[in-house]
Amino acid sequence: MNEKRMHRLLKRVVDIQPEEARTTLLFFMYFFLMMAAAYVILPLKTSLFLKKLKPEMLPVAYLVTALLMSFVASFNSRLLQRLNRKRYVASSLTFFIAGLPVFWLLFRTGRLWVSMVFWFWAEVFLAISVIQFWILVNDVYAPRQAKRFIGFFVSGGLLGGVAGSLAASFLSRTKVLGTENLLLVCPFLLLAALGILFALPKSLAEMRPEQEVRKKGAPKSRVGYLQSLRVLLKSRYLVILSGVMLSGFAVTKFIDFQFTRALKVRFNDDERTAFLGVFFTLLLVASYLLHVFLTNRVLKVFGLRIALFIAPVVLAVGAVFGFFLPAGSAPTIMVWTSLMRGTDKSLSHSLNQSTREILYIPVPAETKVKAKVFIDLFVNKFADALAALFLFLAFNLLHFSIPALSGLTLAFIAIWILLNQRLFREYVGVVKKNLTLKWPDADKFVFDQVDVDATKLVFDTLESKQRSSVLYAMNLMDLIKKDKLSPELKKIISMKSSEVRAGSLNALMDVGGEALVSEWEDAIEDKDMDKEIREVLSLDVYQQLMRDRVEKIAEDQSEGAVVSQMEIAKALGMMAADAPLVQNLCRLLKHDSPEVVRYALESAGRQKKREFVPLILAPLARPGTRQAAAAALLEYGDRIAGTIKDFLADPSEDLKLRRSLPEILAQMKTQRAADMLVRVLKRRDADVQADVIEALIRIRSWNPSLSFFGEEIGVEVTSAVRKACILVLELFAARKDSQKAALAAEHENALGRTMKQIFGLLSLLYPPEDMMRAYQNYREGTKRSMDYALELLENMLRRDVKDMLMPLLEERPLDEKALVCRKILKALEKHPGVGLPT
Amino acid sequence: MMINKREKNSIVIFDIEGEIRRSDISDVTLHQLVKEQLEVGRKQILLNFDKVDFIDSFGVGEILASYISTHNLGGKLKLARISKKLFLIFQITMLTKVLDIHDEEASALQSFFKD
Repeated sequence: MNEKRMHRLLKRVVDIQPEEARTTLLFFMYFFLMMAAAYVILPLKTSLFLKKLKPEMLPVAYLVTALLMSFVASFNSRLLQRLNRKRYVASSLTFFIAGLPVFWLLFRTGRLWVSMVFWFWAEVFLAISVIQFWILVNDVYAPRQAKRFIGFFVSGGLLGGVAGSLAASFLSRTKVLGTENLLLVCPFLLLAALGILFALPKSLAEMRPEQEVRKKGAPKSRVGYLQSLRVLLKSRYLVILSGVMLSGFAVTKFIDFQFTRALKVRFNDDERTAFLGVFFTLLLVASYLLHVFLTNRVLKVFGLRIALFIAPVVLAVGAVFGFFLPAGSAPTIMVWTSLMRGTDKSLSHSLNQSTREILYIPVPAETKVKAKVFIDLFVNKFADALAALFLFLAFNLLHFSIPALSGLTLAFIAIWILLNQRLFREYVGVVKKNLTLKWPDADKFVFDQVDVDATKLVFDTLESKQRSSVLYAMNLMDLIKKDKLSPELKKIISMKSSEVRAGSLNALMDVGGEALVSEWEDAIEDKDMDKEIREVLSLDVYQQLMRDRVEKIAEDQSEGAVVSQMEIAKALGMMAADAPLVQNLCRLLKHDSPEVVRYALESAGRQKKREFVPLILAPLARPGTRQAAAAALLEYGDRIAGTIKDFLADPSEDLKLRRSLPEILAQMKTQRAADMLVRVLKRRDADVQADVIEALIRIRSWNPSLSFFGEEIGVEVTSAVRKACILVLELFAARKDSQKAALAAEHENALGRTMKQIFGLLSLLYPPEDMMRAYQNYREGTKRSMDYALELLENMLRRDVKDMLMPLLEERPLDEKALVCRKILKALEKHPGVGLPT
Repeated sequence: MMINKREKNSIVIFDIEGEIRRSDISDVTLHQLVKEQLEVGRKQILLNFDKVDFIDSFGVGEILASYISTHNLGGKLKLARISKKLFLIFQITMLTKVLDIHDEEASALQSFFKD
């Protein structure tokens, strides 16, 4: 089949890219064959055991298997260390293929121990074949890619299981082969799987054994149980995951025991094999149906959190029925145990198998294989051993009845549920740990490292020295008040420089060198100095005396008056707010010189008089005075947030001014300022919308405790998603035309900005740091970290947002993305009011 | 103040000439020029201060705003060839803790690829 056709066919059942089709189909077939073989062996294992031994021997079989499995796991780890992946799996398969005819011969001897050894051999085969398959999947696919295919592969396994069970049931019931002869069917299935293994990607053969991957000179890592146990114990997540598996496996074992016991009572040997064949077939059909209709839906609609609880809750309800079973009624007990076993196994094969594999996604690759082998082999069997001990005690010493065993099952289910709850919390945490911040919040970084206001004052002080000793002294005083005049700074400030350009006043007042600083410093460092100056400046006599002079200078339009006007503008900020001269700031704030306006703005910010606010707003439109105007407005605090909002929302105001305002509200960092931004956001004014969104993102990152209404922000998320979808469609159209490369680049940049906005808006509703991590890794991370970013979003976002956003974020070719975007746009047309409840 | 743009190895270089001060700017500021580059996806920016004599608090604000805008998008903004006196002031005001400053343009360009 050519690859295009293969892709078209597979695309109907699984979300797949053309280049993934061949490998994915091979994996599907491989798992199908392995599970077909497993489901021929599974009924054989039970039937051949019960043929020769009593069910009371089962706990012994569980216990012995658990103990011996530790050696298997250790040996398996050594193989993983020494062989490349293909050779590792191929050797195991060869071992199992050779083993089957050997057992066929041994069973003909009629020895009792053969049943016990076969039980153990079958357990090893069942465990190893599944583990190896998922190891191969993890080797070939990236985490999220694997997540896309988990369901598909599970389907393959289940269909293989159905085929194997049907074959086992048919061949044993019709006496075509007989129970033991079924052993000779499996090698053919395994040989076919071996053939597929060699057709899998070459990269698997290049997947070097762990000992070769180790750097030269690095200490040789030890293999075996203890080492794997250490790896597991280092991770809280893996410990809880083991606990979940342990309790789940133990519950399965209790149910399995009840079922096997009922089988022995109810059927003879051949009836039993036939019943088991039918039972496993029905079980697998049920599993397949559950998987097709339930697994993906549950994971998509309810997410991992709910998926984890379905199996234990359903089994708990079933176990409760155990209390009401009539004692001694074999048929009723058979029906109930069959239902329990069927429910447990079908959920385990479908939903639980998918969730189990998803739970390994955030585990680092180097730990994953060790942890998986340890949990699936050792913890699984340890659970069997634990259950066996309980069963041994319960039935041989305490003579438990079925209801009493249901009580024990319920106790383990309760532990399972509790651990699941903790596991989900840890899961999200582990996914987050995989997302490193690619770059820090630059605002925070700059403000943590540098006192920006003091730095600007240093530059202004230096600059003023070139102009006026009055300004210089006043700036110096501010600097000393800020306690920023270090010895090094003094040296710089006092530099007698040829670099200093002579201004009209400079030439007269530059006293030069150290002397100026030292002279002033002694005086200015006097704590009362500032107070005394302010008192003098506020004296009525001073105000009256200076009134004419100040007004005259303020009105002077000549160029030579600029420096004097700067001095006055600075001095007015040092007066009391009610001093009459302060009103001169109104005139100075409208001055043509940005230098004068800058000092007037500083003083207006200090005086905080409401009538200055409109005059402070106007310089925001001019680049030279924008920073100083913003700083002055910030001095007022959020009491002027409403006024700023009014200007921002007024389309008749200067657009440059309006576009500067959201940032000022953001810098206020208060809930009131955030509320004002949201009010403007709701107006959807295209001129300022992008600035408002940017400001909201910044205010949230500076103050994560701010709260926002989900409904209001949700509408904006929807709008941004719509915009992103349109951009994808435009980009797709532009890419098709080689003449439109520049337009395509423009759309691509716009799309990047819109995606940033989407993550930013989400950061208003979810922890900002999490959204920042998700955004950075989505945009700049490796394939793996991008997967983790999507995984985090999938587990954090509400369903309606997820449904709308995830298809847009998933990595796929542009043509497919365009299709997805069309679907999203259609859905948004039908439900335009998608929003997030608070 | 005059600002000229050129490119080397997909790094945008702004050659600044004159003084970065509020009294000496046209309608387009340094920060606006940087933002324009960021909007078209250019996120590696070098400011060449070879011909800058002086900056005032407005200039400091422009440099820091440009730095923040660039780095918040995962880009890099660096400075090269600033005068000794200016470097000293940058050191004392701790700006050197934030800004990546290089003596020569070549070493600054190389450093973009090392990061």
